[in-house]
Amino acid sequence: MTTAAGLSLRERTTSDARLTGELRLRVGLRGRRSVVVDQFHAGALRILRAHYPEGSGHPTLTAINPGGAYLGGDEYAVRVELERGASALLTTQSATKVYRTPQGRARAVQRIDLGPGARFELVPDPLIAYRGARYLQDTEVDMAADASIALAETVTQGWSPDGEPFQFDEVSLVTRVRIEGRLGVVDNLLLRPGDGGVGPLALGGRSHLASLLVVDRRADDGVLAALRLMLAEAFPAGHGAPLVGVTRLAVPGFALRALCDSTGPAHAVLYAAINWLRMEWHAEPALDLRKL
Amino acid sequence: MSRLTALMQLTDSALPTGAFSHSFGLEAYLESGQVHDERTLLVWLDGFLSTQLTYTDAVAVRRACRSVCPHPAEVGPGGAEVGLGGAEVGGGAPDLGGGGPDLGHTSRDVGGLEALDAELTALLIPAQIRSASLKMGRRMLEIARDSFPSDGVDAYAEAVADNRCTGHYTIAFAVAGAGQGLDEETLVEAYLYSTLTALTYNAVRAIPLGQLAGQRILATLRTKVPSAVVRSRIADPRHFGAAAPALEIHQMRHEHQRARMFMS
Repeated sequence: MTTAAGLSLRERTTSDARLTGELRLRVGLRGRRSVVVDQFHAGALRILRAHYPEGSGHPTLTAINPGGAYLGGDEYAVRVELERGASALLTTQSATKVYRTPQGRARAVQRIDLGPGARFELVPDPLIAYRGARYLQDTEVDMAADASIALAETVTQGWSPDGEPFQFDEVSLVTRVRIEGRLGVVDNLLLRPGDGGVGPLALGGRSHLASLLVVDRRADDGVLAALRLMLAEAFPAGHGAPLVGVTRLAVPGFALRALCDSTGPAHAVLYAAINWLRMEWHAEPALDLRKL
Repeated sequence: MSRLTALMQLTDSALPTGAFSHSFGLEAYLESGQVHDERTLLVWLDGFLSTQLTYTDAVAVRRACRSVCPHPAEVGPGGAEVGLGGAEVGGGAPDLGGGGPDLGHTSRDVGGLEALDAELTALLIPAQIRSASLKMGRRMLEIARDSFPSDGVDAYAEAVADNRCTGHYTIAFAVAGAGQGLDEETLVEAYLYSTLTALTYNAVRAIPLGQLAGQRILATLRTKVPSAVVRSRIADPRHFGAAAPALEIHQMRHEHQRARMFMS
C-alpha cells in the first residue's frame, strides 16, 4: 500500500491551511468488524459515526459538508485507507452542490488506498453543478490485486435563472486506479456545456449522467453477461428510459454508464448494479443509505 | 525520399489496417436510427471529431510524435503549414526525421512510448474501442516494419513483441509517420482526416448512401479538421482521453448488438 507524498495518516494531525475541508480515515479489521481506527477532519468536512446495517461488520461512513456547497477556489481533500481485509462504504449526507466559481474552480482530491483483501464502496449523492460552476475532481486509487472497489458518481446540472439546462462551465472527473503500482484504469469524464459538451455524443439530450467503476478480480465475462441481462430486464429500452452501457475494463472489472432524465432513474440504475454485486459476491442485502 | 508520397501511402484508405471493419460506435447509432442519412451522418462524424478524435486520438498521436522526435518541428502561427512545407524549407534535412540513429534518444523515448501505451490501454474504456486500437495498431506496425522502416518503428515493434507495450494504432501511426520525416502537425491532421475518410466510406456502405453524398461529407469535414488539430494542440493535458458519455455508451452497447457489420 502506498502513501500519498510520504504523508502518513498518523503523522499528520494538523490541517493543511489551504484546504477548505479535509477528511482522513483509516479503517482496520478488528475481529469480524471493520472499524475506523484513525480519523482526522478539518474545515468544512465532517464524518458521522459509523453505521453498521443489520449487525454486519461492513460499516457505512457518512461524510457531511456543514457549509452546504462548494464555492470558487475551494479545495477539498479526502483520504481513505483500508487496511488488510477491511471494508467500508463511504457516502454523503446530501448532494454536493457547486455554485458559481468566479474566483476559480472548486477542486476535490480523493485518495484511496486499499490493502490486500480490502473492499471499498464510494456511493455519494449527486454532484449538482450550477450556472458558472467549474469543478475538478481527482480520484487516485492504489489497491492490492485482490482488493475490491466500486466507485459511483452521478452528475447533473443545477437550475439556472433563464431555465436553460447545463449552464455550468465545466465538470471534470478524473479517476486513476493503480493495481500493485501499475496503472489499470483511467476514467476521464468531462462535461463542458459551452464546448459542445451536451451534444448528441456527449449527453444525448439527457440531464443526468450516472457512472459506476468496479475493479474486482471476480468481475469476469460471466459476471458481466449476467449483470447486463439484469440491467436489460430492469431498464428496458424505450423513450425516456435510461440509456445504459456496461463494458469490461483492461483489468478485471467493468465500467457502467447511464444517461437519464432525472435523479430517480440514475440512482435506480446505480443501485441495481451495486445491490446485484452485493448479493452475488457478499450475500448482503440491498443498500440502505438512510440519510441520518 | 518524398514525404508527400509517404504520407499518401500511410493514409491511403486501402492500407490494410482493418479500418474497414470498425465503426467506433457509429453502427450502434445506425441501429437506433439516430444516424440514417447524409445530414445525420455529418453531425455524428463532426461530433466524433470534436470529442474522441480530438481529446484521445489526436493527443496520443502528438505525444507519440514527441516521444520519437528529439526535436519537434517548430509550430508557428501558421500551424500545419509548417508540415509538408517543411520539406521544402528544410530541404529534406534528415534531422527532422524521428528515426535518426541517435541511440541515446531512442532508449529514453521508448520509455515515453511505454507510458503512453499503458495510459491508452487504461483510458480506452469501451472494450471494443480498446481492442480496435490494438488490432489496427499491431497491423500498422507489421505494415510499417516492411514499408515505413525506422528506428522508432523497430523500437515500438520490439516493445510490443516483448509485452512491454500492447501496440496502439495512434502510436504506431505516429511512429511510422515520424520515421518518414513527417512532423507532428501534419501527422495529426492526416490522422484525423484519414480516420474520418475510413468512417465515411464504412457508413456509405452501411446506411447506404450514394458515393457523391460521401464526398460531400468529406468536403465538409475537411473544413473542420484544422480547428480540431488546433484544439488538440492546446488541449489541457488533464483532458487526455476525456470521453463523450453518450458515444461511450453506444460503443459499449455495440458489444451485444444483434446484427453487426463491424467489429466496433
